[in-house]
Amino acid sequence: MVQWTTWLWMGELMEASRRTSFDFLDIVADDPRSLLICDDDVINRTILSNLFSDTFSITETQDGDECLMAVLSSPDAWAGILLDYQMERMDGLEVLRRLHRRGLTERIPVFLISAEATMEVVREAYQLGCMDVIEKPVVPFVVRRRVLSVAELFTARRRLSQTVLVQQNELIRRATEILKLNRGMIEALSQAIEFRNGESGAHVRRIHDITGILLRGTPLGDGLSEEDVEIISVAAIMHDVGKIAIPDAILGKPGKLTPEEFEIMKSHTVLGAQLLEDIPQLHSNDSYRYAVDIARHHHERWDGSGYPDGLRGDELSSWVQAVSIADVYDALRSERVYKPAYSREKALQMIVEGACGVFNPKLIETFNMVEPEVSLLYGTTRDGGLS
Amino acid sequence: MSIDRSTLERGGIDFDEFLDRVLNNEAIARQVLSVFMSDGTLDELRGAVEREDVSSARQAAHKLKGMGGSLSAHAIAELAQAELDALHASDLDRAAEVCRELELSCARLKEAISQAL
Repeated sequence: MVQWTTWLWMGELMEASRRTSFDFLDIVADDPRSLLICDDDVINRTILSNLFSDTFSITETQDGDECLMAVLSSPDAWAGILLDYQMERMDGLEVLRRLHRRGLTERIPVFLISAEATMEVVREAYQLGCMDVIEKPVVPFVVRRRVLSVAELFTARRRLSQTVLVQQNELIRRATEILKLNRGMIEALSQAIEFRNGESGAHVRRIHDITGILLRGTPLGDGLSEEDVEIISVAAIMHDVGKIAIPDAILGKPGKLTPEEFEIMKSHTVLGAQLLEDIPQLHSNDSYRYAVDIARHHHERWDGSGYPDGLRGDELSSWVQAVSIADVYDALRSERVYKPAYSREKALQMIVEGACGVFNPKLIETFNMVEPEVSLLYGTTRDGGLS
Repeated sequence: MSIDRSTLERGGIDFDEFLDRVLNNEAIARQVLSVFMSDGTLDELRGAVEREDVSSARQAAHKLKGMGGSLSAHAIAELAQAELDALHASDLDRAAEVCRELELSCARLKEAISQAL
């Protein structure tokens, strides 16, 4: 079993890494390859275009409005913006302010180009997210190196964050699959044990559902989140795992058990908790601490007459009480080797009268409240009783 | 036909620096020089100085400084800076004087460009 799951895991890892590298190549093809030049001086635009025409596809704009329009109409197209500081209408600093306000200076590297920027201008430009201030007249090898280095940095950063996103999604997908696999294995184990009991596996599924109904939207579930309720409902599935250690002759006996046989039968609670404690991999599962509590204590009763520890009253956790009453109700409503399936009314009457042990009166009240919803679980299942 | 270096240098252009700026691309060099030939910024400057419109004069002087720098016509860039300084100091007499010097330099450069191209 361990080897099989390890192979499965390694196979998934290899598959995931293949997918990830494929996605990475896709992203490279999406890198922005356009450079936006904004300058009201045609000579300077021509010189800058010529400097970068071998690396980028160039778009020239001659004032701030045109530049903003180009950026806003396709914000992901630009590998960089070369922005003249002194322009007749809207100056470069104002363009920079508007880009900054929209968070665009974080996504697109902007270079302010100026012949006479004062320290104040340079400071404000940097504060607005400008990546570099380049002096005019431009010196080709300087401006090329400065622009290309920063553009590459932005591209690498963008690729990295997209790769991280792809990998993060992959991790979430795998974690979800592992959760489903865990849940599946828990259900498979519990159902296998139920099959030995001569039952169909529907019992554990119903205990899961009834526990959820009881803890969701009633005072019994106060203080539990929706996530807690689902975790507890999964834990409830494992309430009878200890029955794996009970001999067939006792488990399947149609008549009344002898006192010795009953003692052995009762041990499924302690053995169940022990079995769960002995699986180290289960300890990190969110359901674990509930599962151990439920397996050990689901036959305890409100008045202390239950087993194995004789807990009473508030010593019983709300989830243990929920699973206990769910277990009894389901046993009453289902056909067993030693009894027929009882009707809703009879089952409820037997619970109220304490035929299966004493329950917290408030718990019975709560159960009565949700019982109509619970009874719907029995209409169509083949081992369900008459409603 | 390649651009005549010595004519442009006589007109006040640092030819090596200019050619370096256009990555030795003569077609781009011609394009840029042609733009300067048909440029009317100097007229704008003269008009603004005559009207004592300091703001327009500064814009024109700034533009001339940019073009002078881009063409590596250092004398023009320096005169444009002197013009900006005079305008900044609201010294309109000095501004008019520098404007006349700019006209001489620009005329000399345009003459050279028309011969060189």
